[in-house]
Amino acid sequence: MIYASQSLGDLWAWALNQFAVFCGWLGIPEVIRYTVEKGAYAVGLLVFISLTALVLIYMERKVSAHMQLRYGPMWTGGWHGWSQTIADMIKLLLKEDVIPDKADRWVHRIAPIVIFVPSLVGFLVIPFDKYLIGADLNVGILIIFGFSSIAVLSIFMGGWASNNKYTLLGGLRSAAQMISYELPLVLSVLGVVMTVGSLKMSDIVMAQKDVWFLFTPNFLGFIIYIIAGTAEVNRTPFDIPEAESELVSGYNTEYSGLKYGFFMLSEFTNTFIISAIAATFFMGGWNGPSWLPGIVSFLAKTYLIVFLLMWFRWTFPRFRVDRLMDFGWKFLLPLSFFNILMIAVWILVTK
Amino acid sequence: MTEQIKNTGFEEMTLNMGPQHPSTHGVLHLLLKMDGEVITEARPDIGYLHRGMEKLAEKRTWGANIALSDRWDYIASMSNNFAAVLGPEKLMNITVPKRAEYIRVIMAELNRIASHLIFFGTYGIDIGAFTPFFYAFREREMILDLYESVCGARLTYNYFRIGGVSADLPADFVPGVKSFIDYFRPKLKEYDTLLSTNPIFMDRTVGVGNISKEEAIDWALSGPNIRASGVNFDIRKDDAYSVYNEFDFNIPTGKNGDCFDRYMVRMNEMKESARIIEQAIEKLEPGDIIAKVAKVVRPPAGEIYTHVEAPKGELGVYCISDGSTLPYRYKVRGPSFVNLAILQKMLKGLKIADVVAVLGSIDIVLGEVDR
Amino acid sequence: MIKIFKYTWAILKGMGITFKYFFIRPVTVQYPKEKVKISSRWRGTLKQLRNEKGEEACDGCRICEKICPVNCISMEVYKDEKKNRRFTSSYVVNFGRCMFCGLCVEACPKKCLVHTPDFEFCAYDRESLILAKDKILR
Repeated sequence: MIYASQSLGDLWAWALNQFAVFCGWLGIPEVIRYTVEKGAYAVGLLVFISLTALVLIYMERKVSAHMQLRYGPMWTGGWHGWSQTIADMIKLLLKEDVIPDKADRWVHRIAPIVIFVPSLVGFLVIPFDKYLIGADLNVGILIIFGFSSIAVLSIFMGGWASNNKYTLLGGLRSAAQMISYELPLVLSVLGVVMTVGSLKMSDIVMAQKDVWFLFTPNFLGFIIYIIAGTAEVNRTPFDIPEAESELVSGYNTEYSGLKYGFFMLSEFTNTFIISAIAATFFMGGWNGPSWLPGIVSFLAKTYLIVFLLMWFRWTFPRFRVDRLMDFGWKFLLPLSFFNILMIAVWILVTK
Repeated sequence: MTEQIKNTGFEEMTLNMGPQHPSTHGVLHLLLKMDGEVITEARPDIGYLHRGMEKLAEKRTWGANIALSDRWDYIASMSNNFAAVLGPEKLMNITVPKRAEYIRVIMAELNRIASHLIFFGTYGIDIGAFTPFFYAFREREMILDLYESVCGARLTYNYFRIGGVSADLPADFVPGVKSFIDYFRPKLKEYDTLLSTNPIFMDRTVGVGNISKEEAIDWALSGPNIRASGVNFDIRKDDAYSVYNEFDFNIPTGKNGDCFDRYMVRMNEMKESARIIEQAIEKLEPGDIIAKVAKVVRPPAGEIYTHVEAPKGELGVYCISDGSTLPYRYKVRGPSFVNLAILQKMLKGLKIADVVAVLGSIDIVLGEVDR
Repeated sequence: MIKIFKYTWAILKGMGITFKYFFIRPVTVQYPKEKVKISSRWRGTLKQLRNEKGEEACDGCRICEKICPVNCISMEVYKDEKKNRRFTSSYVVNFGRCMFCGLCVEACPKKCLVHTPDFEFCAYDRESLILAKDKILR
């Protein structure tokens, strides 16, 4: 039976169970059952993603506003301008879609899709709750990093196809940046993977039942992850592909309307994914107090990291592009190697 | 480099930075020739905000020119007023009442703080930090409130008159300034923690855009830009106008003349301005605020060059009078215009990210560059 | 190594400041809802005053017209023999040109031209920025 205290994950598992029993009773083939199950999950995920993006944009506005002694949106929708992002989305939908005259039309059109799809795929393997995971693959984390690498391609496509010098520079910068920060990002997570001995998301969460990896020697990995993750999602202090004061708006300068909306949306979904992985790998995922539903504790941790990223954004200046490379290759990468070494020694000692 | 370009078939890219660009501080147009991200040639192209101020001045009375002077450097209008009134006053040998002199100094120094606050905020944005801008503007707003209570305007003050100032200070002005100074000093420390000591900020500015002592003099820089290169040149001290010789203040100078030094000179100048204001308030005594001058002045024929230390540098006005109510010639030496010239030399070999850092550190106002 | 710690400390201190302000009440004003207090000396749109008798105090000396740096004031003057003084038959201020320098108000010998604290003066077209006497004389 369902109780109010039971979490969403249990509820989902129970629903799946009931559905399986129902299908068995009707004699519906396994393939259809499986498709319906995953389809339902995907629909739920899409709703969740769009809601998340709206919430994140609103949150960014409010966090930045309050750090800057402003109120942020206060009028739209009544209470503290809660519907401002919805209004903005409608505005973006209604705007004219401009393609520059000499742009590479098809690449220009595809780029926003290429950036948005990987960020959707990433959500599949994020364990929101005990049974609430799209596909508990045994290479879960690799899927996310693999797909997030495609975002580089899209940014570069957008930058190149727009046929604008600013977008070109933005695209080139982002290609250099995201590829070089991918390494420390993956290596920092490797420490956790070594400790757990599995790439499976659910295993990693289960391993943190007693103590979060944040409070073990993996702390260093957490810091590296946060820094590299900030760079991966192109947020200040690593927002040089967009670099508002230098490149106007970087790779998405020539985009408008819905396509620009996709770029913006994917920025926020990527932020969410990066934060969600941080919460999963270092802060215990859905583990938490027993009275709290797993998904709530997971989301709370994720939003904490999101807040941290926003806090970075509204405090720091921007790196210069060559210093950024220096920082990535000469400092962060050796540090993450050192981290792996340290974790290895730690595992050896404790075992 | 050019040989390599020839051999490999790569070509230089011409990038039009501005006139519509978020960080060219208005409508500056920079023609950049670039090799990848590195700039090989830079040419500032100005004139998008040209309003013919000098020609306009020849058709306005001397008094009305003060109102026009607000529009040269529109974020430091008090200093412009100062420069506009000194010339005719000297031509006509007017002794300005003591109280008016002190009020002028207080206004000019408050304006220096306000102008440098804008520099601080916009420089933060140029470098990529948005938040300091809002903190700077909060403080600037207080100065503007003080100005509003005195002269009724927040941007184009038109407060100085030939022979004095247009209105006496309201009763709550002096306490307001005092409380502002008390409030402002701790905020400066906050700015330092937020930006000046930030490693990323230092990384962007230290050693970028160096101007040597000789270069600074050769290119006729003035104001904080030349002081950052280690030249102790300040008109308030070297050619003291008004009552500046009565005050005790230091002239902050830098060593290397890089962006960070130019930034720090301005930050320290704000402290010194606060000191001057405090001293001027102490000396403020009741009295006349304007000398006995006709409404429409007719300075005797002659020519004169007067200059003041505006927040951006040496703001000079060279005016020729033919004895009528209108100036015969009214030449303005805008510090931003002169300081901007060195940009074409400094930008060579820098990256595009440094362009905004260097341009921001020179602190130009396009209203004054183009006039 | 020490450098890294120093840098980290500087970064954390900077973050501390933004975090502090996160909880401090914003200083901005929700403009159309609440309005800031405007100084009584605010140089807003112009207004002509009436004298004790209720007729216009301006006697058309044209000083404001002459002193205006942007020539935005224009007037026509006639002499009223009965009352033995001059009146303006029209007094037009082109606020599209006016730069609110306040020289006209300062110069007015009768002190009958004043600024209003109105800073929200705007119009949809330039013609409605030109105000005639019926709007200025209040």
